[in-house]
Amino acid sequence: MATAYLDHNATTPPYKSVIELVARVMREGGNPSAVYGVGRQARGRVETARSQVAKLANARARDVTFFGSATEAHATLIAQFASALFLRPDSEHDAVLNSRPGIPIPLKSSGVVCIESLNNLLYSNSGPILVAIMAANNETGIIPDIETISQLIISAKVNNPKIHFHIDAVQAAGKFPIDFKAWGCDSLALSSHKMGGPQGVGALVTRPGFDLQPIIRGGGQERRRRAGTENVAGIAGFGLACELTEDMDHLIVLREHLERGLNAINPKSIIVGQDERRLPNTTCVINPGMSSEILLMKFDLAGVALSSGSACSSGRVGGSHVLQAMGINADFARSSLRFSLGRETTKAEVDLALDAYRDICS
Amino acid sequence: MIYFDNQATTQLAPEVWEVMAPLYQAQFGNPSASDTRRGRAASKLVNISRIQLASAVGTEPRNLIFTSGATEANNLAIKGAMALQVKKNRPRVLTFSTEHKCVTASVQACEEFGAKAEILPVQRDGLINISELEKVMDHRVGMISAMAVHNEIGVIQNLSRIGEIAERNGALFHCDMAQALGKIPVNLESLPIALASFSAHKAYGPMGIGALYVRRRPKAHLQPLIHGGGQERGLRSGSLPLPLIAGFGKAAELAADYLEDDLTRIWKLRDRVLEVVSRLPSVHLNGHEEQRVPGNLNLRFEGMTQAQLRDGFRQFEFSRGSSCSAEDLEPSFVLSAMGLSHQQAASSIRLSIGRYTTELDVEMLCAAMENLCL
Repeated sequence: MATAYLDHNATTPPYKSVIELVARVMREGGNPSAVYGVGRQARGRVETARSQVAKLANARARDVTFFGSATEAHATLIAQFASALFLRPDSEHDAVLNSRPGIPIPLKSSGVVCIESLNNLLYSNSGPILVAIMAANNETGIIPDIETISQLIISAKVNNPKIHFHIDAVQAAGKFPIDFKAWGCDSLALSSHKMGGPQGVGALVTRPGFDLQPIIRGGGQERRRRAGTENVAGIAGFGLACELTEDMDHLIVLREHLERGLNAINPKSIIVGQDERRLPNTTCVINPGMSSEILLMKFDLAGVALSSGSACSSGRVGGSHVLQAMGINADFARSSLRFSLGRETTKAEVDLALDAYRDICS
Repeated sequence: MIYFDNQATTQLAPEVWEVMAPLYQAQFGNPSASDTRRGRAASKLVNISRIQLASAVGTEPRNLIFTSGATEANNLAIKGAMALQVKKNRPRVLTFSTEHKCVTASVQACEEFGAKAEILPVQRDGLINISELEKVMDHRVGMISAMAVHNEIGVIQNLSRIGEIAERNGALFHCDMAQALGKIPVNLESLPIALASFSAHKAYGPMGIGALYVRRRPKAHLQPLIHGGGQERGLRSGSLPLPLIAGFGKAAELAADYLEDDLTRIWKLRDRVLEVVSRLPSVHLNGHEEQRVPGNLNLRFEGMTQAQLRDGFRQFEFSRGSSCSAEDLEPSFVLSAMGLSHQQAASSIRLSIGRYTTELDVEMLCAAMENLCL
């Protein structure tokens, strides 16, 4: 049976050369903290990867710290701001939302951060503030105006230097250029397996001089920012994936085809954020009167892998928290589907999904 | 270079890579994506791995959660459980001066939320003094944390006794088993252990994956360190790295299957080295002579300098202590904590024998030792 994998925002297949590299490094062995030959070779692998990640993010290699996942990278950063006011939109990933209670930055109905509200929040509070914003939303693909937000935060810092600006670039990296320096942020989190690298590796980029405190303590690995023997093969694979990544603009044509098809088959369907700046691979569609859960089951039977929102929250009954944060009503939020294409997605796969949608809707 | 550093990390078993390779290639999926077939297939593989690990360590799969390694598991167990113990008026957390740095660092970190960290000495042979431990116990102790098999000196602690003391006083016993898997038989259900940490790459599995045993009955309560999607019973959020987990499952299965063979072979190799040691009056074994795993030889070359040792063993890969601290060139804090002088600690090295060490490797080592000392 033909199948289609349209769930790349959940996890991506690694590049072939990444798999080869992971295999080679696994066989090499060696603990990067050991001082002899094979240990030094392993250390070299880790440091090469650090430079590759730094280059992708436009940051310095020494400011890149590796973790076991992006979730852990977020957790480490956020733990350091336990007493700060925590501002973040309600549409952030669970890894940020559930880390500690915070105050929502309102979103416009288009899904982008409301700049005026952010401005008010920043200027009406003194003392330490942690602002966390996604560079691209995992469910809708909507990209906020990072440049404007960044300008706003930089100006606010003149009055209150205790503002820390954290960017979740997990879904952005590998899909459009990320730029730590230009974005003027203080920290930025990345995930390997969302961009063609292996699972089990994340990274945090921090501004020069930032004293990142570990939540996992022990040996002196990662400049004492994260203890534990490094996942050398995984880190090496992540580094290579950063080097191989290219923008995904070619997917726009395929996605247009998908979205036109969805609207043609079901005229009531609504593409979320259609006119907003979005990731080129992501389509979030509301299917009024239908249930995400049943739709997913039917797509799955037809061999099409999709999700309703973030993979972590599959099976959640309340409907997408991202759509609700945009002010979309709960019934609509319970009817959404997320299609996320990958660099190797074919027209045949998209057509298979459209055929399935036609069968479901008829 | 001949590898004698199997306690720092082990070579990946070929059988393990065979399980992992196809997962990188074809069957990728996010185990949390339960709406998709691939996600469910991934989740099934995670469950199989959990079963493999569970049966290797003698517990039920649902008692195990996957982490990024033993360091994370130790941090989660100690800080996660003590955060709650403090609230139950059990603020004392006890550990020992020779424990792995990630354990002592976690224990000390508990002071940030009101716990009282107490780091107790060990005997000169590296073992915990049970009667001394009993003396310091009271109803304010929240946890005792002790390592099953020592990473530097290879001694095996008396886990049943330590656990009984903990339980009698209503405290949790956390056991760092990073070096135990595949080296001693582990049967968690028969031990008075509430929490136990494991590492894959110390047992011929991949780096970047470990596990924490969290007992259900009586329940060991924990607070997570990493919040988010709520994976792993809400105790450890983050996408599960499928290939690493599958590799760990297989490595655990092999550890149990090969335990006897590995031990028999390694005993023989070790005895050959000890036979040479017995003929060299200036060479001594650090740590208890019997209560230890065969794969570890922490040897003291009385009167030798580090430069002499490095030169004499230049064909071999070994370390002087835990590799996490190999970069600081101080002699091992573990040996100092056992009461060895600075000079004695500086003239000691750790040689660790593993599944893939050959007789020829050992003969080369013996020859090098004789050359150096005779």
